[in-house]
Amino acid sequence: MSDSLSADVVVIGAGIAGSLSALKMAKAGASVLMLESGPEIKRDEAVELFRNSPLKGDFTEPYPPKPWAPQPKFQPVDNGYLIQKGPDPYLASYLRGVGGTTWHWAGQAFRILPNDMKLQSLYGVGVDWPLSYDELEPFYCDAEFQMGVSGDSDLGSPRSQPYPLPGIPLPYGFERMKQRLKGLGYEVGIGPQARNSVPFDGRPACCGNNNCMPVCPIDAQYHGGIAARKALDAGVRIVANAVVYRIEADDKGRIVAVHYLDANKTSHKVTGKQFVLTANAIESSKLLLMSTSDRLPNGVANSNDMVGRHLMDHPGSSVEFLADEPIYFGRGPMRPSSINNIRDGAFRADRSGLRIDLANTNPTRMLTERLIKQGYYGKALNEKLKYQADHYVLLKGMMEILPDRDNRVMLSKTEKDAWGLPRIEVHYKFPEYVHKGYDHSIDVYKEIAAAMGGTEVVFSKRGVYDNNQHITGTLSMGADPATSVVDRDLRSHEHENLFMAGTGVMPTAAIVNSTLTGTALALRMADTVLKALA
Amino acid sequence: MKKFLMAVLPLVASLGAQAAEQPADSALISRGEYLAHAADCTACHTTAKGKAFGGGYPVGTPFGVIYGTNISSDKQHGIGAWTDDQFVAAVRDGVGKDGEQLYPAMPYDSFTKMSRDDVLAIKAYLMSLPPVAEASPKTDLPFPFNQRWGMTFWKFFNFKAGELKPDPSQTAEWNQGRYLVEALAHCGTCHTPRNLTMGMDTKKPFAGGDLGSFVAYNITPDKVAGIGNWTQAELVTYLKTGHVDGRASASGPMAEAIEHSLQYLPETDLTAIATYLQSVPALADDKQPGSRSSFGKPSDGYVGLRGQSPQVLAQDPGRALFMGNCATCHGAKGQGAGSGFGAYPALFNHTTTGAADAKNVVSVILGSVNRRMEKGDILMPSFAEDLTDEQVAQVTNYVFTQFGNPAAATVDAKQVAKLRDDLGQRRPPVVLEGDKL
Repeated sequence: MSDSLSADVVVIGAGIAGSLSALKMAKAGASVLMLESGPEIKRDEAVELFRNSPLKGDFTEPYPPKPWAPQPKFQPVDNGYLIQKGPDPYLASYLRGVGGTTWHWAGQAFRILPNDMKLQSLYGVGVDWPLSYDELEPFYCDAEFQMGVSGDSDLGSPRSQPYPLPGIPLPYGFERMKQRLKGLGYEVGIGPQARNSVPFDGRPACCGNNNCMPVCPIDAQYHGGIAARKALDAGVRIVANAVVYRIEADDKGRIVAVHYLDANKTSHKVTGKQFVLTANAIESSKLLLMSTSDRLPNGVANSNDMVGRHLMDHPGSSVEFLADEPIYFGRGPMRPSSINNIRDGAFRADRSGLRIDLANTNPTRMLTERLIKQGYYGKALNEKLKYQADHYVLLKGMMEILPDRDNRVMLSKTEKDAWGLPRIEVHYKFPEYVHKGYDHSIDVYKEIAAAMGGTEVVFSKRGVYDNNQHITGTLSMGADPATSVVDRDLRSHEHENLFMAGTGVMPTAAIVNSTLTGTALALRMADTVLKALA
Repeated sequence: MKKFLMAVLPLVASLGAQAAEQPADSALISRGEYLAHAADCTACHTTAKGKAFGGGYPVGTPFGVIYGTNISSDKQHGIGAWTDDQFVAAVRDGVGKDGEQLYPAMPYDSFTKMSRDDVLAIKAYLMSLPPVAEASPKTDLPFPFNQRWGMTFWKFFNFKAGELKPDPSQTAEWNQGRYLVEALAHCGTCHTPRNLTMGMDTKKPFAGGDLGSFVAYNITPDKVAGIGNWTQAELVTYLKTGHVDGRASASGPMAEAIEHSLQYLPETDLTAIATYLQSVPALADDKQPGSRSSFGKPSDGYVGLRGQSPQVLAQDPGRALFMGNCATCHGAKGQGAGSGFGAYPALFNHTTTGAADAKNVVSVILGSVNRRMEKGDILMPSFAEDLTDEQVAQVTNYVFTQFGNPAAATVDAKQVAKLRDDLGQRRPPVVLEGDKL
């Protein structure tokens, strides 16, 4: 019984990209089976887990991992899930479970710019995408409609259809910043968000309570769990707690089966006609690298040794200050607004572009902890906290790191996890391109802080950059089979019936959150898979 | 007397002897639009995503589904080729264009009280709208209910033809309210209990009816069972917005009536409705132990949940389900959030949780609340795919025990399953597990 699992399409990884592509394929009549290493995630349980957690700053608390599907965790201390080989850290955080990491994102649903896909030909850096913006555009529209994206400006990414929902209103303080920064040429605006500004698709509107990143308790924010449920309703079978550890190819290179370990470490085989890998850029690479055989000593889809390379994210710099008027950070969603008009230009030949989020995460808890550490208590604590909470501003800048073959994930040769599978090593280094982008970001922050009458201005340090959990690269899409993993249709160069989707296939990371692009690419891929089935 | 006549004239008096076959003037059309809103024609003759008055709305009855027909101006599928007499006969007498008997899902037992001129104003309005060239689904009830001639027997017991004449001993407002309640808004269709032959029980007007998935509550002025302790202003606000703090919020068919009909009526009409309803005989209900909006208080039952092990939580699953699913909007203490139009209602002092029957709460959890109001949408999502039948029963019973009429906390999974099926709601989809295939 357990070895008889089979489907037209076997999808590995039940995150947002996998689930929406599975939904599309099931609606077109294909039988689809999804395998997910982690457990089913239920919203009400996640909400209560968060309420019960003492670690309110750890947004993975609502989603405790299973022993067979461990995941990165950094509080109270780094659990070392990713073995950091340096020289710089790559502190990625992600979830393993049905619905994936978008259970706890901030819903930012940006499109990349057409120029983001032509870095090499325009600026002589990075690589060009093997795909044009116009080819991707209809799939952006589809993804936005499924996710209920709200927005009010195209932000330089041309649109063939309006946003499905009107933009979320700017919180009061952000409206003030918009007015005061206009003269500097920095446009503060609402970013596109997969968040209901009005009731949509049976889900209520956001009421601005700033819970987005642990968990939206009312599903006003879209997430992969909603996508997975729709896939189930359309007839997709999802198998949770199924840790795929091997992809099996026949002598001709055709994928014939995948093998997974269940919660009892028993192995099962799943067969299919077409196979889709959407298990997050890091875990997907791990699986391909683990799938070695006599014929494929480097693993599946990896004869050219490209799997796991070109690892990227968005290195982040930041500034905090106290404005000279109340801004009231923490009203509204966590990342409603950003400065978007400094992402592109000739400077990209030399340094990274910049996008600045007004990081609206409510600062009260953090400020309270800090003030208590500084020795405040009683009335002085209250007064100081009230002032700081009202005036606090945190800007988080995002920079683009270019693809570098030496930034990569690899399998540990010595370390294994509890289910006996190799652990993951990360090799990562921030290049000068990013450091120069940092220097520019500090100049911008200084201007903004001054314009807002900022005091107690604190910049993040040069060379120490946040990881923004926009895990890109590792499965790069490209026209040249020697330097990339998949082609423009996300089909493996090596295995005709193996496809990959999600953010890992992006050949460059651009300077915006990657979920919408990964999802649009997955929807485009679904068409190719369906064609292959026909 | 003269003053009274002047006031009632715009509503019930004749629009003159002009032949309605003539091209309708704009005053007639706009009066027809107002009357069509008041009579809530849309409710059954337009589907949620369909074109206006194109028909197709499924009306669930104990005998099967009856579909609202196309009453658009289309000559083939709608009423475009109907004569005035045919239209009036259908609306007021339940007789179709070709003489066939109409099912009383069409509330002609109320509409018979409308004036002929008002019926023709509605026709003029419908004829002014674009035709919908689509056939509405055919109603196909099982034998013997497919024998439409049988309706003549139903009519014999339950139908009294004749338009409502103003009562000169009452005020103009009262007469206007009566006309709205009895004829146009056909409140009794839901709120008057049905007799053995499914006619309105004329001995118990407005004492509350059972609609299958929902209870239509007692709206007589009885202080315990009905609306006797509501102020007139509260009634008007409720009819206008569907929500009154500390009293009630509308769901199910009442939400639809407010969405499609009542929110569009002028405040004078809503006041008239309230005036009339407060004047009808108060009818008590021995199943209702106290005024429905008097039950409950804030509860801090959640405190005991914090930091507890899953084993402890499992002992009171309703409470854990409440906290994870309901408390975010309705408050940890059941106190709701906000007030007025966009409020998330408190769960105590709420007529739905104070009712003798928990059915409406179950149907809301499964079927959602969605009032599409001119001021904006009010939405409570459906939890049909989040919660099993057992879980819906547990959380409903928790809500009634903690915040409402504890005597109604007797819901079981079987009742939930039935309501889920009646409402056409899904069950939570099953995620398979790697070791249990």
